[in-house]
Amino acid sequence: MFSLVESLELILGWSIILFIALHLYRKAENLPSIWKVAIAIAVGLFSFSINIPVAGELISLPILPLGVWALNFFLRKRERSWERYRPFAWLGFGANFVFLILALLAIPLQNLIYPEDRLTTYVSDTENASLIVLHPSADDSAALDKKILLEQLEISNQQAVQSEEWYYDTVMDHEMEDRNERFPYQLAEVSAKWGSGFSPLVFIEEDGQGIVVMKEAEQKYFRLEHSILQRGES
Amino acid sequence: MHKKWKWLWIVVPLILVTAGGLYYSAVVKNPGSFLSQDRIINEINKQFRNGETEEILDIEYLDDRNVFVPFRSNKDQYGMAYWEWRMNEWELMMVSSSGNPVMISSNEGDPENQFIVWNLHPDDEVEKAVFYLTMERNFQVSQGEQLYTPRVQMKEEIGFEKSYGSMKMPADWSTYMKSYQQALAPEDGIPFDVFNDAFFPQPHFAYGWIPYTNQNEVAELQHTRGQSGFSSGYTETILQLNPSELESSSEES
Repeated sequence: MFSLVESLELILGWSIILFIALHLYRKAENLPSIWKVAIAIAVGLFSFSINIPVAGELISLPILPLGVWALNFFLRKRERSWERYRPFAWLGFGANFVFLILALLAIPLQNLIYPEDRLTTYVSDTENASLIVLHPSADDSAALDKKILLEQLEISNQQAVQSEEWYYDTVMDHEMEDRNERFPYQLAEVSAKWGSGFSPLVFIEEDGQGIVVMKEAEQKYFRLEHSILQRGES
Repeated sequence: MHKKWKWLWIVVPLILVTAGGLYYSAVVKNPGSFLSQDRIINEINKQFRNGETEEILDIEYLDDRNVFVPFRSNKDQYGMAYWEWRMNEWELMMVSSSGNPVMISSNEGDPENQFIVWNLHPDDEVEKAVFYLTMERNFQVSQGEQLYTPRVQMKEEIGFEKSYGSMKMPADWSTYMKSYQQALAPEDGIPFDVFNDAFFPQPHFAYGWIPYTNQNEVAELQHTRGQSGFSSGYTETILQLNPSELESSSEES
């Protein structure tokens, strides 16, 4: 899904680079050709970087300006060329730092607009929400109560995913024939908050009051006050 | 001199796009009519090791680009073949001397376009089949992150009027599989499973089926042969299951 913060990062980052590039261009004594400038910046972008995990994200930290060195090597016979395009190559390398800073700033920004601890971040548009039965132990006659779902989204409270406990609860002392899956429903056709960049998979607990949201190989568990499932006659 | 070069920025991409469009419309065509019976038999026989095709049982369009042909050989074997329309011709994607159900998918395993096809031996007298999509229940704890994967066991029952046929993958199955794959993909950040994979094998989807006789008993397939054949398409095995391998079967009707 579309990520608003990521798009803003890109737009802002490149705008800054463009702004500095224009500034350098005007200052230049003998006007360099525009497309060569663009290439110099693009080549300067290449760097040897290491990825550092920061707050669950991988941030790319540039170490060696490989692109700048490469350009220097290729233009070493033409001193005038190198002098003209060197500042732009360094600008390209510097762009890595601009994006690094923006990436760091994006983390709190993303969490501000799309708080990770609220169910409404992950389950936002429920207009076409539907139930998919995943396991035969589910109540076949259960239907989704969209009105209650809408209310409960706001009231939910987050709890810990207890994967090991849930697993053994179902499996221990229960033969295959009488195992009841704890999360036998998928809440399908719902989307996360617009611009969050999430495409979550949503499970509903068999009592209709628990929701597990899974995105980017992570899970969060929320409990509701009322069940969102209507039981029919079984 | 300067002005002349500026035009290139518009003209060159325009030429490329036009050329691409012309090539596409010339080479890539809409599916034409399917092959003649003789052609079909010829193409199958080239791949079929165990005898010759004696009778074509059906020519079934799974969708407008995929055609399924169950056939019978001169040695009383019931096999299957399917063609896919690629670019401008029908391409043979699979020939199997076995009629056991398989999942075929055009489009590189896109869950939207997958079909189950079968051609059982009529002497096995299978009246109905239940197909299953399963995934193991799993839990995972690593670096403080907990992941619980519920057991998935979705079924689709189908009555067999004839011993051969096809069925499109149920929409619920593809919805769940797509959602699951998306939810597992890490953001371009820490690849969750770089170190985990070795220690925490991820659960996988599996297809299964159980055939039933008209007495509602699990059918024993004495005559339908096991898997063998060629396939250049994307086929997935559908394992024949034992009811004891299923959960909650006491609740099943």
